[in-house]
This record gives sequence, structure tokens and C-alpha cells, in this order.
Amino acid sequence: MRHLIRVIAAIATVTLLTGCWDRIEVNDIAIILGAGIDQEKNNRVKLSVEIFLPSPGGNEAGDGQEQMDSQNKNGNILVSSATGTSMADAMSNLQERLSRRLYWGHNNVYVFGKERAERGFNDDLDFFLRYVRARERTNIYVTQGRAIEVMGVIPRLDQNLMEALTELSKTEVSIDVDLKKVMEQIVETPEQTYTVPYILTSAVMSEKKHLRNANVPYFKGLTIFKKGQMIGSLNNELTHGYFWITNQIKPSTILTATVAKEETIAVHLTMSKSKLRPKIDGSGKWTMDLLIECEGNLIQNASQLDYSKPEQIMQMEVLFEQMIKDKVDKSLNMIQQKYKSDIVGYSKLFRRKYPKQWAIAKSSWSETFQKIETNTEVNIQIRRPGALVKQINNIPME
Amino acid sequence: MSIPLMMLVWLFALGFGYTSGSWRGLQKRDAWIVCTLLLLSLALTVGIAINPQLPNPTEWVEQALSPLKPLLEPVN
Amino acid sequence: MLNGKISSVQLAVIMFQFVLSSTVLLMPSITTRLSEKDMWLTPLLGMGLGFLVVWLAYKLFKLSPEGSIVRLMESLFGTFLGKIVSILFILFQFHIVAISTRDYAEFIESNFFLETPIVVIIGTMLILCGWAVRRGFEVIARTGQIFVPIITLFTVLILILLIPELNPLHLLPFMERGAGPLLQGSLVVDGWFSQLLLAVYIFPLVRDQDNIRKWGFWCVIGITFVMLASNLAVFMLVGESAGYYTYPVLMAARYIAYAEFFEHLEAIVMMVWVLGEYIKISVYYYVITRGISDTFRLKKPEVIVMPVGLLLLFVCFWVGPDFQTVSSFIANTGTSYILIGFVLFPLLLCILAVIRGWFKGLGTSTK
Repeated sequence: MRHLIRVIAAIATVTLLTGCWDRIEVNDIAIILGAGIDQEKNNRVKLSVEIFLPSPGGNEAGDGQEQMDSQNKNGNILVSSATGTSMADAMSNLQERLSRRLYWGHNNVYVFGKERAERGFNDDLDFFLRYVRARERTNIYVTQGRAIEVMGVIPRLDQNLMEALTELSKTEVSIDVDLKKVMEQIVETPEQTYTVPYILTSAVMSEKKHLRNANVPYFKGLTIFKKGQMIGSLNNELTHGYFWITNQIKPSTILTATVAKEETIAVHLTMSKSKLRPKIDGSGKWTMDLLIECEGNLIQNASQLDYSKPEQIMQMEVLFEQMIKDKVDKSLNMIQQKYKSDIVGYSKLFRRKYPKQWAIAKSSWSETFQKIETNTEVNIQIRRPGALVKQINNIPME
Repeated sequence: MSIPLMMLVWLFALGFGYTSGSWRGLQKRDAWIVCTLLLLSLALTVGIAINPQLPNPTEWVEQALSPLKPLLEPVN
Repeated sequence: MLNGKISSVQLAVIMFQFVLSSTVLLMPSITTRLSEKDMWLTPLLGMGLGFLVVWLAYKLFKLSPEGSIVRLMESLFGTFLGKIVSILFILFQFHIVAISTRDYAEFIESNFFLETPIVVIIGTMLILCGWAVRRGFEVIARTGQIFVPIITLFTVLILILLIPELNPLHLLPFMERGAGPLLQGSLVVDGWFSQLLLAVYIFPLVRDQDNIRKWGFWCVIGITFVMLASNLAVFMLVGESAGYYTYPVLMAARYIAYAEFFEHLEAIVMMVWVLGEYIKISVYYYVITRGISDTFRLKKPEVIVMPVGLLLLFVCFWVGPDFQTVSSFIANTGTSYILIGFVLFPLLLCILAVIRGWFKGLGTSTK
């Protein structure tokens, strides 16, 4: 009898292994593939999510203006949104509308609307970092319009918006900034300065009557954040300069330099390295030395300079070096003088090398940052001419 | 911790004691210790059921060792 | 139940995991708040106390009649007072293990099982540990031998997978604020190392007692090494923001995303944590049972395993109404508390025993 009770008790405890209280079946979850956060009136926030419903088939008629629906080969994608006084409130309101539980585990993308970014999204960051179900590796983007419009975009080349954005982040045009990086910058930089990629949605492009594919998101550059609020942005060209400074130029970037009117050379970068060296000289002047080294292959020569002559190669290289230097100076000027935000990481570099002076300058870092002069030195080597020996323009016409 | 759960725990515990062969033929001293421990558990159960914010030893230790607190405060 | 025999290697392995269980998870956050950029050095400084405590435990073991520290207390303070001192020490251990268990349960609860009642998490663990204790320390040692390599392997795996994401420049500037914050951080780590003293209850079970010191030394080295590695990995990953996350190691494991395949590795952290905590709670449970059994000269120690477990369950709830009390206790007063209990008090015992030994020696020589 005793043994029987024990055996029954032992078997009964196995039921505890199922985690009864926390079980959620797969077809009871709404997998979130992207979350958009917008500013609403009365200081409310609108959370819109793109949901992947794992069971395909059957077009669901969207009801109400807040549900956009479209069918994809692998299942239904549904966009739903709700407002609330805070992110958590909006999420619970959103949950009320859905018959399935929101599942954040696969989410990789947070898109903030421009208005929300300008108002400051530290509250939303608190929710995303504190809520245990949301992951720290998700990428953040700011969009020029409203995030909910981005949510509805079904890209042609990718399965859904999240994939499109993540893949786009991996290209040389932009970088990916995830929650962990933002948190690091918030803690370590003196005025919470950081950058977040800036994207455009299709609607804006088609308004300009461009003939591009209407369903692909574009990168427009980087936004600059200071003290938790977006204060401006860098366009693609200035972003490029910013990448040169912060050693974020990816291989396969293409550089073009103008030799003379209508004569250009293009180089495909294979390696680039930027080093920043902080210096505080005797008189207390703060300077930064920027050394850029890069290598590339010639991919187009539409000029009169001939690659087969060494001194003309030197000329080409000098042209590129000047071009890069100009880009860097332009970007730095914008970042330092107009936006006065240290998104280039000067604070960290000075802190490592001159901790004592940095500790004093920390409290008024904007002013100190504005005055830091950067001496740029570029060294480019154009290694290979590609498959053509002489440029086509130089083939004598007979 | 809710009351039904606590009763379930006690049920489990006493059930185990009943079916366990080692609780028979206990010497007087051992039985005393077992009973003391069980009584202490009962007291705690009742205490927590009545007042979830029972004064707890962590509080007492915090108060007792409060002079040592500044040692481990961040220097900031 | 109390007479199994284990080898000193097994003891070292058990004590290694015993100390590491809670530290790897909680430590980076607390030490970053105190020592900032120098938090990775704190285990190296804590190592010193580790050696001291191992030496102290061994010395106390040598000084104890019949190898039981309870007997030592009785012979120092008299039978009645000695028992009181022993009971107080056992209550202290109850408190510490309850805080530890509560911490474990809160971690599992708040990160994985949001809706499960905590009593299920604590209860199932205690039932398992109680069963292991009832069968004797040999069982705990052997399960430890199986689990500890698995735990260490997975911890190392996570640390290695993190390597591409690490940025060593986070560690500079070195000693930015001088030695003060570093010493504070290492005090907290000392608190964890001091738990090694519990080995004194287990020394009587070791077969090859001459090797205890050698393996104790290696145990401390191993603990320091793993702590150092995980501290470095976490800090090189997130920098100073480690102080703002409650569980930086979990966050680091969640961060791993390799080739879009190795993702969502926090389940590994949970598995490692549960296995490690099983060993930690079993050891404490055994030590408490042995303490009570020795103090009251019980004939059948198996009987009290279940009542101790039941009491432990309720003490876990009694110890703090919510997570914040427990967590802020560990970060501050808890360190002083545990250092007093596991370092100062045994040191006192040791000194008293040695002094008494001198007097006895004087007494016999003058005769």
C-alpha cells in the first residue's frame, strides 16, 4: 500500500515537468515581426505590430482602419495597432484586440516614428529593456514619417519588413544599431549621444513620383540623438563621412572621384581602417589625429589618367585622398558645429588616454567637443586595375 | 503564497511522513526534534498566511548591520 | 546517511560548483555598480580570501574532536552553550540558503516561468535536494561529478560564442578611480568565496585527507578562473551598462546570434543555473542536517531531512516579501553578514581553540 502511494506520487510529480502554468500552444501565439512606435496626440503612444500568423490560407477581411492585411506565400501578415499612455499600456490595449498572445521572441526590429524620436523615446527603451520577453538584440530604426506606414510594407525581395531591414543593415550603406548598443551609449557617453539609422518608407518615395519599386524601404542616413531626443540627421553623404571617422566603412563600398569636368574614376574598396588618436598638448588644446588607410581596386576609369603609368596612379590616389578628406571635414563640421553631439566617440577615446582631464571636461562636454580639431590624413592604395588594361577612352579612334 | 497551495504542501509533507517507513520506531530524542521542526514550519505557515509582510530576519539583519552599510555604497 | 566516503577531488568539484552557482549570474551587475571598469579584477582579489577560508576550514577540522565542528563548539563553550552556538550557526545557514534559494527561484520565475507559483519552483528543487541528502553525501558528490563538467562546458561554450561581439577597449582606462571601488567590489566577491567554509562539515567524509589542501587550492583557482572569464566576457560585451541589467550573463546569452542559427541560447543558461543550484542547495541542506544531527546526537538523521526541507521552504518565503529586499540585501548588508558568519566567527573559534591548546600545553608541561 505504501509503495503504491509512493509510485503514484512519483508519477504525479512528472506532470509538473510540463510547466502547466506557462504553457502556450504555437497556434495561440501571434509572432511579432516588427514593432512600430508613433507619437499620438495627448502624449499617448501608438504601438503597431506586424504579426505573422503561422497558419496560412484564407484572406481575413480587415475591419476598421487600423488593420491592414495582406497575404504572403508563407502565411498571413497582419498589422495591428493600439494606443496607450505608455508602451506597456499600449501593449496591453493591443493584446485586448488580438485573439492570440503577442509573442516578442522573434522580433528583430523596432521602428520609431520621427515625431516620437524627437519627443524622446527613453520611456519606450525602458519598457523594451525591462520587459523580459523582449530581446536586446533587436535593431532600432527611425523613420521619416509614421512607423505604422512602414509596418504595412511588404517588400518584394524579402519575406517581410523585418528581414528587409535587417538585410539592408548589413549592406555598406548603413549600420545596425541594437538595443544593447544604445544602452551602452546612454550609460557611457556624457550626454547620451548616439545614432540610429534613418529609413524612408515607400509612400514618401512615391509621392515624389519616383519610378522605383514601391515596396522597398530605403536608408536615408543616420539620425543623431542627444539627451534622449532626436535633434537632427545626417544625409547619406554625411553618413559616409561619419563612417570614415568611426571606422565603419564596410568593404565593397564604391568611391568616386572627379578628375575634371565629366571625368571620374571609381574605386571599389577592399580594405579600410581608420584610427583616431587623441592628443592634449602642453597648452591644453585638445586635438584628434585621424589616420585613414584604405585599399581598393579600380572599377571604372572615365578619365584621362592612365593606370599603367605610376605617376598617374599617384595622381589618382591623391585625388581620392583629397575627396575622402573633404567628406570627413564636411561631416565633422556638421556634427561638431551644428549638432554639437559627440556621436563619433571622441569622449571614449579621450577618457581612455587622459582620464583625469576627461573627468574635468565631462560635465561640459559639448563645449569641449566643439573645439576639438581633427587632423585628417588619408592614405589610399589603388591596387589593381580590374580586367581592362587601358581605359576605353584612350583607345585611339581611327 | 496562497492558502490552498500551502495546504497542498502540508498534505504532501505529511503524506510523505506517513508513508515513510523511517518515521516509525523513532527514539524520543529524534521525535522531539522532528516535532520541533514541524511546529516551527507550522508557525511560519500560519504567520505568512495571516500577514505576508511578516517581520523577517533579513530586515533584522539590515537594521543590526546598518552601521556597516557605507562600506559598500558606490563611491559616485 | 552521514557516513558515506568521498574523495578529495569530488569535494573540490562540489565546492567549485557550489560557489560558482550564484556568483556567475549575479556578480557582474553588483560588482559593476561598485567597481565600474575594474570589476573584472575583483575575483583575483577575492581569491586571497578563498585561500584563507580553505585553510581556516582545514585548521578547524584538524582542531575538532571527532572531526566535527559541533563538538569543537561544545568543547570550547561547554555542552549547553556550545549547543546554543551551534544552533545559532545553523540558523545563520538557514538564512543564507533561504536567500540563495529565493534568488534562484526569482530568477527562474521572472525570466522563464512568469505564471508558475514560486512554491512549485522552490518545492520541486527542495524535494530533489532532500532526496539526494537522504541518500547521503556520496550521492551528491557523484551527481556533482556528472553535472559539473556539463555545467562548465556550457558556460565556456557561451563565453566562446560571445567572443566575436566582445570589445576589449571597454576595459580601459584601467583603475580610473583608484583602488577604493575595486576593493569594495572585491569585498562582495569575498562574501561568495567565504561560503567555502562549509567544507568543514564535509571534511570528515573525505577518504584521502592528505590531499584536501592540494585540491582545495585547485578548487579556489578554478573558481577564480571561471569568475574572471565570465566577468571579462560580460564587461567586454556591454561595458558599464552591466550595472543596469539585473542578470547580465543571461542578457549576454540572449545576445548571441550566430549565423542566424545559434540563437535564443538563454535556455542553456537556465539549464546550467538549475543544475548548479541543485548542487548548492543540496550541500547547504546536507550541512544543516548534519549540524542538527550532531548537535542533538540523533540516532536516525534521515528522519529530519523532510522537516528541515519543509521549514526551509517556508523560511524562503519568510525571508523577504519581494525580490527587491533580497536583492538589495545581497548587494550590501548581505556581504558583511556572510563575512561575519563564515569568516570572522570561524576565525574566532580557531583562535579560541588554539589558545586553549596553548593553555592545555602549558598545563601539562608545568606538571
